[in-house]
Amino acid sequence: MRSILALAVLLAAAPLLIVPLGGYHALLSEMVIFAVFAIGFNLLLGYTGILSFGHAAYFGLAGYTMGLLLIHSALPLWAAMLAGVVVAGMAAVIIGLLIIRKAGIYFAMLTIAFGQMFFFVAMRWKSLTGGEDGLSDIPRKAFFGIDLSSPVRFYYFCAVVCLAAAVVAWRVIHSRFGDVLRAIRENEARSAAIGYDVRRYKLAAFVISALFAAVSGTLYVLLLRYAFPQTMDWIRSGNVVVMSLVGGLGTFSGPIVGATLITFLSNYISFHTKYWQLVMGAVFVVFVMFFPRGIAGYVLEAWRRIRR
Amino acid sequence: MSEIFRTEGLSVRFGALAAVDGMDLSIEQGSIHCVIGPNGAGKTTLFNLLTGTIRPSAGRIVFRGEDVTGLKPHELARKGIARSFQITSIFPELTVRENLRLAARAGRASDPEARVREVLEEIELASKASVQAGFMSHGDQRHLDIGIALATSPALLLLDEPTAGMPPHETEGTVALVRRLRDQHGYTVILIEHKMDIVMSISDRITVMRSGKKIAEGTPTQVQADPVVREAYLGGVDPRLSERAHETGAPAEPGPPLLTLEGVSASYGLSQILHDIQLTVRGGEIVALLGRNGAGKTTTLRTIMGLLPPRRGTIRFDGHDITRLSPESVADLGVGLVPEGRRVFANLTVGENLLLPFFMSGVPAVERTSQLRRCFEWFPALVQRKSNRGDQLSGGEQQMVAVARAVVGRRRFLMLDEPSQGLAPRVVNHLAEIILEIRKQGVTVLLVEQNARMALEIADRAYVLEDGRIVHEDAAAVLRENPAVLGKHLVM
Repeated sequence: MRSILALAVLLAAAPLLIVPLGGYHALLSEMVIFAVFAIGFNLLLGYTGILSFGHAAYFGLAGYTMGLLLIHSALPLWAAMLAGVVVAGMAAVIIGLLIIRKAGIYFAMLTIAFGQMFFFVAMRWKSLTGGEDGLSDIPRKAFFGIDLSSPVRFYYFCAVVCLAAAVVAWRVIHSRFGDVLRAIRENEARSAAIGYDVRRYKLAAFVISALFAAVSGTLYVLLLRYAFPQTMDWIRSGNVVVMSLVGGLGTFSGPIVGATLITFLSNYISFHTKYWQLVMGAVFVVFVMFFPRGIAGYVLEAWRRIRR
Repeated sequence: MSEIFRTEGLSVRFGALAAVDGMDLSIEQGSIHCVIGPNGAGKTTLFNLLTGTIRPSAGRIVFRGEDVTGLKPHELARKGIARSFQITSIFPELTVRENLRLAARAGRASDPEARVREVLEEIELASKASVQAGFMSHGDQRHLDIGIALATSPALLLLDEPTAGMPPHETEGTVALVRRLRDQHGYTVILIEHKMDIVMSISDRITVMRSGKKIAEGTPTQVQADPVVREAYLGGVDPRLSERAHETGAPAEPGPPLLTLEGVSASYGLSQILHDIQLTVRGGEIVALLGRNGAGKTTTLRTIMGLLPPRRGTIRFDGHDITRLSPESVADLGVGLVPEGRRVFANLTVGENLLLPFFMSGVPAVERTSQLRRCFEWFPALVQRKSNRGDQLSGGEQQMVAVARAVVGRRRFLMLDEPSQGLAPRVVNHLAEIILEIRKQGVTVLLVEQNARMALEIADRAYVLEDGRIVHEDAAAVLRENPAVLGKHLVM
């Protein structure tokens, strides 16, 4: 639980640290939003050992759904966000049921295929989604009467959601359910042999991680007040894989570290060079080759050594 | 006593192979029932059927009076059927206690922690409860594997070679454990085991399998006396084979040593498989390497081939030190290996399979054609199967392709791993003639076999391996007339 407290303090203090250094609140919000995405993704990749390259689909689907409702209906913000998350969750259940029996690379390829399907629908269904132009001028309504129009307030809104997401993930990881997920990652055949319905657990992990992606997606669209097809293409799906790996798979703090660092770096580097993706690629290669356990993995190990 | 478990006509086919064929089993409550049989008889496949990993193509499984055929592994586990694994299957990154807790919860134990404590005592790992499972010794991991099955509080326990890879002193502990489970806790156990002294002392009943079929069943005494069983282990052999062997005979003067192993030891991870192996094969010889399952025969071949670097010792081939060479370099010197289970490429035709050795070696097309032609001369049965895919062949035909593939490309030395496995006696005899023919063409042969009788009919000399050590070496003709040695090391 100390990690949660530390996270709360960091989230509260971040604007005081970053803004004097030349950062801005919107960047902080973006870092925190992707942390939510990565926290959920880590439950799937880090704890259950399932690689998905299509989670941006749920990120984008929730964002679009919420955006459309905010534009075309009088629903309050909380209801539009909830609707976005529910729709994305249902999509994850249906797709998950179809593909969860496949393993490894086949599963990963199918997630790309389904992810790209959503991307192309967003591109082509112009009358609904605005096609390539996306949905712009999405109103950022008040959340239960709390006005979110200022960047500072919106950041703290995202920070609270992120903290809640971390608490939920913590509870999942330290539950019996989380123990079974780890068991499946370590030895799927044996998990089934002692009586766990492996497919159901994997599906649950898939849907839970998609729900985190969906929450993150609604916040992202609210931040930009804009939804566009690239929110759900496979590059964004790949990004969250990178964040998880760089941060440290299967560690609690890893995805938060990875998401904030990658988001910050890509913003910072893209400000200085248009070849920022090249630099990010190099960073990723270095991590996979030389620090496969990610930042959090090595920090935790160093900490254990010091305490000994 | 009453029946707890039965199968009726249980069968499964993999392509052309009937891996388990019409199996009828009846297991008494509270008994230890052993399933034995030569390598490849289908014992582990039977376990996979009983635990739902494989679906049967025909037949029924009845557990406590309920038809459980076709249920998935986790459903069978919840009904109360638990298994351990031949190749250790644990959760290596979790502690011993966490391993057991997962199983106790899966088994819906009313008090999982209490169940974990009971099992820890039972498998004698209480002092290592907080150790990460993957860091334990092989023997401790084997016990944990059984413990995980026990922690689910099953009604029927399936143990797949619980003593696999264990040295004798650890084996005793495991046997005592299995005995305790039945005597003190009333478990019903189905056991696959190869060490015959264990099987004979522990079993209430024994089922003997061969080529997927039940060939005998009864008490240890009945099974031991059954001529069919002895036949299954020693193999049925055409008596004219040794005459043929004599005709095509070994060179009167065996050539200089072609292959020598000096003090070779090898390990897989923590468990040492080979201990100080001394072995010589002279040019033009057929040498047999005999031993029970798990004795280290395949490991010896893998070590020679460079697939498993030895811990200690030297391997020489034709004057070269090949101890640390890669498999490709060993192959380039003219060494061929026909691995166990044949490994014929299912998607390639017979012709394509045979051409594979040429792809990397830059052999001119003319040479390739003439080699192929020679190959079909040796194996005339393959000519009409030339365009058939690997998975359309019978087991015997697959074996011929595997042997042919290993001798094309000018191999001078051929190692065969259990070539007779899963083949009908008639096909085995044909195969033996092929091996003799190959030798006649100047190829030296090292033959690993469980079918000792066939191997000894055609071999010049033989080594017997037991627990990774050479325990006997003699002329094949002498061993043939000496059933005492054979019985001691190979049968029961």
